[in-house]
Amino acid sequence: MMQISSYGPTNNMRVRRKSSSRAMLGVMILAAFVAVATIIPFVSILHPVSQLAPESVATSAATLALDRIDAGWDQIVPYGNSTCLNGTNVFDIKRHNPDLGQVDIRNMLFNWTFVENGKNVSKLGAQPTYTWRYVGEYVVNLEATDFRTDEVASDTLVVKVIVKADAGRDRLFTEGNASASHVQLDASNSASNYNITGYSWTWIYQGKNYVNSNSSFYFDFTEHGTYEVFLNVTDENGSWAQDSVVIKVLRKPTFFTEHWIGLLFWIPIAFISVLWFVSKMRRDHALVTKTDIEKMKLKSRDLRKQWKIFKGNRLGIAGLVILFIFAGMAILAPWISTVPNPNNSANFEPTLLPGDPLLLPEHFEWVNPRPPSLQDSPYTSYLHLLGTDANGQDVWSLTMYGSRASLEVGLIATLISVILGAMIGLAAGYFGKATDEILMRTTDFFLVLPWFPLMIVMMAILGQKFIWVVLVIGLTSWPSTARVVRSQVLTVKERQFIVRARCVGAGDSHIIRTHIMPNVLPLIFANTVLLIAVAIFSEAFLDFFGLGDPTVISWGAMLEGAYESQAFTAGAWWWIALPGACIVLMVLAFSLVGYAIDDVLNPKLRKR
Amino acid sequence: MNFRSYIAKRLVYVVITLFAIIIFNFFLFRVMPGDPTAVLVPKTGDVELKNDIIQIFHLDEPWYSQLYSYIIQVFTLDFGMSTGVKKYGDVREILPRPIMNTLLLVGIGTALAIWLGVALGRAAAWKRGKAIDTVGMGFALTFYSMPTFLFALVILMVFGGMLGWFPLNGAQGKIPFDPNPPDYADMSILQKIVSRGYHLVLPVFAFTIEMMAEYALIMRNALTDVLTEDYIVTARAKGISNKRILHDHAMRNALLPVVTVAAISVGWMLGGDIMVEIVFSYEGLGLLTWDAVNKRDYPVLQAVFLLMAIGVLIANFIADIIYVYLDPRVSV
Repeated sequence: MMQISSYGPTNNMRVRRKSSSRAMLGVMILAAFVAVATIIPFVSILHPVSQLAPESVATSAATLALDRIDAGWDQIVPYGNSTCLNGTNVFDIKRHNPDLGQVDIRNMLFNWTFVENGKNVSKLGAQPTYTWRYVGEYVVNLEATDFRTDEVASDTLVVKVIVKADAGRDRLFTEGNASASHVQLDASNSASNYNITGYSWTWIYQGKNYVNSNSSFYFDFTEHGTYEVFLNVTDENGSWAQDSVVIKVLRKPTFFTEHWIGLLFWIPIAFISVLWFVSKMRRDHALVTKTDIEKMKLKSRDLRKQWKIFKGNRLGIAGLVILFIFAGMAILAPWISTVPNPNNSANFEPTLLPGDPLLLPEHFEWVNPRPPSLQDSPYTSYLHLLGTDANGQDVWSLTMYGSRASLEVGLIATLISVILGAMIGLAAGYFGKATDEILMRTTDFFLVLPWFPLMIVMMAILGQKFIWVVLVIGLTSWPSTARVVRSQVLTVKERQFIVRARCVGAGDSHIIRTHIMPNVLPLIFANTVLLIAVAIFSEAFLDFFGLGDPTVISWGAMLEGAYESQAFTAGAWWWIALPGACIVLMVLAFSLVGYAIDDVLNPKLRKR
Repeated sequence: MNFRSYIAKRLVYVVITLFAIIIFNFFLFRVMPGDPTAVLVPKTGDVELKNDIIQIFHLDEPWYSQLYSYIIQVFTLDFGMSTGVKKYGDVREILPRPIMNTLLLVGIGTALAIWLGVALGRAAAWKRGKAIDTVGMGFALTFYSMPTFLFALVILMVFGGMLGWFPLNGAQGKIPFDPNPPDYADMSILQKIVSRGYHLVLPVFAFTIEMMAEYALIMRNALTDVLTEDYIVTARAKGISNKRILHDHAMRNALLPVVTVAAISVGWMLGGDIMVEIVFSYEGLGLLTWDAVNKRDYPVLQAVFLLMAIGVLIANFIADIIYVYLDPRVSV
C-alpha cells in the first residue's frame, strides 16, 4: 500500500496503438511466459533435484527384486495409537530410475503379516492403518505380489509398541493466581494392556530437584519461570515411556510492565507540555493572551469549514464511526468480554469426551472448537457467545482484546515512522544539496527493499516480542513519509514569508519550527492515517506468519491458529468470521478516513 | 538527455544499489547484539553442522574479511549450506524450482492485476459518481483492506474445500477430471502444462483480485486528476470524441503515476505472494521463506531475501524503461 496521491506531470501525446492489439500482445506474452516457465524446470541444469535419486537400487531390469520393495522405517508407537504402514515408497524408486521396468502399485497386492498376542494378523493394502493394542516388539513382514508377472518381493520392519505416557496438557498462568498455581499433575491417561507399575515424576523447582511417584497429585508453582515436569511410566512388562508437561508461570505484572506503552506515550507528552508552559509563561507572563484568542478564533473557523467538507464525505463519516466503535471496544474490553482473561489457561475449556477422567457427572461432552451457543460452559461456567477455538479459548473475548493490539501497533508504529520520515524529509528538503542527495538516496534504497520480506527477516532475527513488532513496522514504513514531506517542504521553502524571515535574521531551527512545520505537517496528516492502516495490516500479516508475540492477543494470531488447526476446511466459521471482519473493517475505516482527509486538504480531488 | 545516457545512468544506479543491498543483507544477519555470529549458526546440538556453517561463512574471521568473502560468494552464486529446510543441502540446489514457480505466479498475477485494475480504475474515473464508480471503488477498497491471506483462505475454503473444483495444495501433480493422474515426472508436456495451470488457478485468482484493487485506486485517482486539466477542456472544445479524449489525452498522462507506484509496490506484491503461497502450499519463494523461518534456516533466508531485493530492483529498472516509453520528455 503506497500513498495514492502522487501525480505525474502532464502533456499531450500522439496515439500509439489500438487497445485490441495491445490486449492480443498481452495474451501472447502471457502464453509465452506460461510455456517458458513450464518447460524450464525440465532443463536438467536448472533442475538438480533429479540427480539426488537413491543409488542403492538394484540394477536388474524388469524383475521385481527384494530391494525394490520398501516397508518403510522402523517405528516406535505408544500403546493404543494407530500407525500407517507405508509400502508406497516403491514409487520413489521408480521415479528416479525409469529404466527399472514397470512397477505400478496399482497392479500389486500388499500383504502385511505379523504375530500379535499369539494370533496371526494380516492387513492388505499399500497403506493400511493399524491400532496397536498390545505392548511388545513386532516384526512386520511385507509381501508384495505383482498381479501381472506373479513376482513376489518382501521386506520387513520392526514396530516397537511401548506403554503410552501422558503427562497432561501444558499450563500457562500468571504468578499469584492461587487457583491456577495449584497445579494438578495427572498421569491417569497413560495406558498399557499390562498393569502400570510405576510413575515417576521429576522436575526442578527453585533450584531443587523434586520426585513424585503418584499417578496424580497437586503441586504449587507459585514463583515465575518455565518448568518442565518429566513423567516416566513403567508397566509390569518392563516397557517404559517418557512424556513431559511444560508449566509456564508468567511474572506478576508490575505497574511498569503492564503500562509501558502508555508511559512511553504519555511521558514525552507531559514533558513537552511542561516545556511549552514554562516557555510561554516566561515570554508572555500569561497563559492566554489576546493574540492567542484571536488566533484560536481564526483557527476554529478554519477547522469548522474543514469539518463541513469532511461531513459531506459520507464514506469518511462511516469510517470515523467504525473507528469510534473499535476505540470503545479496546477501552471497554474487560467489561464487554465474557471471559475476564481469555489468555489465562485456567479459563480454557478442556475437550471432554466420554471416558475422560475430567468428565462431569452429567456426561456433558465438550469438543473444541465449539460452535456458538447461549448455554454456559459446565466446566468453567463462562458464556461463549461466539464459541471457542481449538485451545478452548473464548472467541468473542479474544476478539475484543485483539482490538487493543491492532490499535497500539497501528498508532505507535505510525508515530515512529512519521517522526523518522518527517525528520528526514524536513532535513532533506530544507537543507538541500549534499544533505538532500545523501538522505534521498538512502530513502530510495529503503524504498527498493521489499519491506514485507524485510519485516519477516527482521522479526526472525530479533525474536518474537511485541516491542519488536512495533519497532520493525515503524522502521520499515518511513520512506514514503520522507518523500511526501520533502516535496511539501520544497514548495513551502520558496515562499515569500520564509525569505523575509531569513532577512530579519531568523535561524534555521526557528524557521523550521515556526514556519515550515505548521505548513507541512497538516498536509501529511492524510498520509499518516493511511500509514496506520498499513501498520495494522502488517501486524496482522506478521501474526499470521507466526512471528508476532505469542503472549499478546491479536486478530492475526487468531487467524493463524484457525489456519494451523485447519478450521477453514473443517468449517469452524465462528472462529474466523469475527477476527477476519474486524481486520478488514479497521483497515477500511482508516483508509476511508485517510481519503476523506485527503479530500479536505486537497481541493483538486473534490467534485469537478 | 537521450535515451541511451538515461538508461546508462539508471544502470549505474542499479549497480550501486545492488552493492548496497548485498552489504545491507550481510549486516542484517549480523545485527544481533552480543555475538554477531549467533544468528547464522544453528542453535541445535549438531556440532558438525555448526562447524560447517562457521567455515562456509568464515564466521571466525574479522567482519571485513567476512564481508569480502560474502560479496565474492554472492557473485559466484554460492549461498552456503542449508541448516533446516534441507540439512547439509546446497542452497543453490534448493532455489531454482521455487524461483520458477514464484515467477510464474507473480508474472501472470501481476499482468492480470495491472490489466484489470487499470480497466476498472479507468471506467470508475470516466463515469465518476455513477454506479460503476461506487460499486467498483467499493469493491476495490474492500479488497485493498482485506489481508491477502484471509481472502486466499476464503477462496481455498470455498473452491478447494467445499466445492472441490481445484486442488488444495501444491504446484503440480493433479489433472482435472482424472482421479488417478500419472506421476508428475511421467506426464507428457501437455499434461504437465495442464497440471500446472490447474494448480495455478486459485493462487493466481487470489493474488490478482488482491493486487488489482491497488492499481484500480491509483488509476482512478490519477485519471480524475488529469480529467480536470485545461487541455482536456480544450480537447472537448475542439470536438474530439470522448473515446479519443480518454485514450489519447487522459490515459497516456494518467498511466505515469501508475507505473511509478507499480514499481514501488513490488515489495507489497511480494508480501501478497508470500501469503498466497503459504495458504495454497504453493512451492515458491514465499513458502520457502516460511519454511526457512519456521526451521530457523538463516542461510536460506538470507539467500531468499537477497533474491527478492534483486527482483524488486530489476522490476524498478523495467519500470524506468517503460517510463521512457510512456513519457517522451525523459528521453528528449
